[in-house]
Amino acid sequence: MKMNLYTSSSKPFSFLLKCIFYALPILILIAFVNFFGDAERLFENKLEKIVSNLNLQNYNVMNYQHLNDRIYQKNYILNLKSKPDIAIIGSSRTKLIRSDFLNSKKILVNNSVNGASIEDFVSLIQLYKNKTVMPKEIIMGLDINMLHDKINTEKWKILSQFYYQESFVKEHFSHKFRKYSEILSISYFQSSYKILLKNIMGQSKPMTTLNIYNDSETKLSDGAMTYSKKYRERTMNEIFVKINKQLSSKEFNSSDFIFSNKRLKDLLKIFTYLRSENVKLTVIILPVHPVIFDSNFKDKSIVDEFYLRMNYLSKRFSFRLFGNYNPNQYNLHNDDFYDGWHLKESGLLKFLNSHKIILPQ
Amino acid sequence: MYLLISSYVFYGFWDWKFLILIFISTLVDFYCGLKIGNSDDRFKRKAYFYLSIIFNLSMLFYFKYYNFFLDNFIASFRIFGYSFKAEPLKIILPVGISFYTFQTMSYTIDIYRNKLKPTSNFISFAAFVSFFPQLVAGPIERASNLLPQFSTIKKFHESMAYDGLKIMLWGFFKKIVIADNLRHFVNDTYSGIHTDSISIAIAIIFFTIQVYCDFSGYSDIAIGVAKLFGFELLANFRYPLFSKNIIEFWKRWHISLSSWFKDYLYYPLGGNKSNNLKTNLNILIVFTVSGFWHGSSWNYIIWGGLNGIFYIITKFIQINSGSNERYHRGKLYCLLSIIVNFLLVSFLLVIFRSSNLNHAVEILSSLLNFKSIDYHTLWNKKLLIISTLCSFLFFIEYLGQNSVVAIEGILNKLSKNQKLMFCYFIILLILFFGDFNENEFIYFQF
Repeated sequence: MKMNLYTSSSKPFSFLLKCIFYALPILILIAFVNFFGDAERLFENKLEKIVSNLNLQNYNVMNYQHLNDRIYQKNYILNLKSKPDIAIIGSSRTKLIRSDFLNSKKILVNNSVNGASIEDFVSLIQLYKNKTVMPKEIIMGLDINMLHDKINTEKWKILSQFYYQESFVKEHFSHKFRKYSEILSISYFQSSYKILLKNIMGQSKPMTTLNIYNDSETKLSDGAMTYSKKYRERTMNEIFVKINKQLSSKEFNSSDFIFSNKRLKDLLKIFTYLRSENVKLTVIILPVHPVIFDSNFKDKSIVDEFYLRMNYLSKRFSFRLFGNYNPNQYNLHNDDFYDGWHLKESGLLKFLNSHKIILPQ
Repeated sequence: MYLLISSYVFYGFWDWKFLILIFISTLVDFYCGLKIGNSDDRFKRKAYFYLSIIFNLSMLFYFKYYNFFLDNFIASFRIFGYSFKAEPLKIILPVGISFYTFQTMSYTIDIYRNKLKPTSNFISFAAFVSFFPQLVAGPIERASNLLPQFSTIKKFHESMAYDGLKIMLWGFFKKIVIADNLRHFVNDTYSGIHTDSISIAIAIIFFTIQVYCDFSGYSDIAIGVAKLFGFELLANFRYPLFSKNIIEFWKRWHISLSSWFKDYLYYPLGGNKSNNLKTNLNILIVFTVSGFWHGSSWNYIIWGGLNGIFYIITKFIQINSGSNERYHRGKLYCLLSIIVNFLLVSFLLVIFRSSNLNHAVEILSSLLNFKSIDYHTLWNKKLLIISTLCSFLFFIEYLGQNSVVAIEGILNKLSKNQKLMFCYFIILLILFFGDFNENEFIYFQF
């Protein structure tokens, strides 16, 4: 048996106090960087107000860093000056749909948010309700993974007050203070210190521009966006590296997919409400890259079930339903994709043009 | 009692059903240990001894190896033109089963060999089996070392606790900064994203460092946490990447497992007491079984077997080479030996890492396909950063070779304030470069 080599003894409480004392500089550093770097804009959202206000004045805005989509859309919708004819709600897959895809003078706004969930859709529509102005038409970019029971996204909680408002439920107090749980988060630290460095070096000052395409990511006046030059001009090799990584990620895995009753219920509430308000609804399912389609969607019974459910709902709630995940049906190739999930503008136009009645020409 | 409860709560977080298994295993071995120790009847002792061994091995066989044997059974029928249908078991491998079954088997074996007296304190024994720092991925403790520590009243020792924190800090650095960052490039290469020779060569080397840092990092964290509670666990790694040959490597790598196999398989088979042929056969058997312990797949078995073969070859060379002490101690010779051994271990680990043998062959043939060389890989920013961090790791481990934990090697040379600054430096490296996504430890799957 090993003999215990240590002979001194002292109370564990004083040891714990010493540890806390020595850990304080690190904890202060983490809190400082998280608060002032603020990668997800949890503590301060001046940037979103500035960008949305400029967009609402019909300027495109570039050179911003890490815009929080949801805070941006909240400001954008609540400060809209006129009733939009068409509002796009969806995830990053629909973010690139912009006004000049229309050949008419109709007002199109894009309220898509990264990593959108059904809860986000409820919140965005509630924002319009609060504005007491509903768009004449809503085009919803829906994906099967938004209905997955096991996807536990936290992003929608930024707009949770609107989500709960819709159900006349008071927002759980823990959501209000959720942001403070990130103050000592190490993963938040790793995103925030890069932003802080850029802020210190003055690299993140939003600027207006008339151009749609710029060196940096650009937020357009209608709420849509365009990617940075570096992203737009990635080589085919880089795109395939990204696609391979996306293949192994857990974005959609048909083998463990279960339809979420709660999310389906929320979706039905949206359909019911929009029908009652005579808002024209079009649901689109955008295709994915051929590699992703072959691996994750082709011949998968759960995907067929998704199509069947949506078909049934479209008849029941009288909304239009277009699209499916198969890129071959739209003659989409490698050149039409930024990565496995995101169509380029050319790809989006091919899809939208094939369903000419989606966007009025 | 508190340790037992917290260990069970910790283990139950994976799946509460696993608790039933570990409890039954604890009960069986506690009972068998008592019966073996308290009986003079040779037949009775043997019966309880075999009961313990068969029970533990059956559990391991059922959860870990049943499907492997079934698949091979079906495949062998197919070779002869017969089809045999059987449903594989759809069960999850209980976390840590390979570790705690070996731990409890060593208890009953030592009692049977009269090297240990059985304990009559069930709580202490249950706490020994389920001790949470080392339950899921080792070190595989010996009852003679750990069990008595549960019987003594623990006093808090500040210096021991500080040592524990230091060891944990280095363990977290190895796991979160080195292993988890290397993982991305290795996984990308093995999944076919990078197919050029340079990327494959880098991935092969990286995987060796990754698995070392992942596993030894976990061991360090386990040892450090145990120290916080006043427990001393056995060292599991002694700077194996600085080994000059494969024999030395296996004395320094996963020490708790290799010593377990030495004491409970190699020596019972005869060890080195018979002729050379029998000794070499024993070595081969032990390594092959050790490979099989890692996983129910042919590539683990072949990996283990190949390690055995190289072990035997190295032993042969050592015995038959002239012993020119001055030559063998030369620094250049040492450095070359370390590099050659590192490369050998890395090549063998290709089989370990690959999903199957075909995959391993594919990787090795892509490595040797010098037509596809992408020099851009070398100037990848992330790769350069991780390579710098690996160099830092090797530097610290080189300095710390004579210490129990690497970080002590440099800390002993510093003043009190410098020690604090150095620890802060490691913490900052973890903060800035650590990968905090949900990355499981590699050895949890065993």
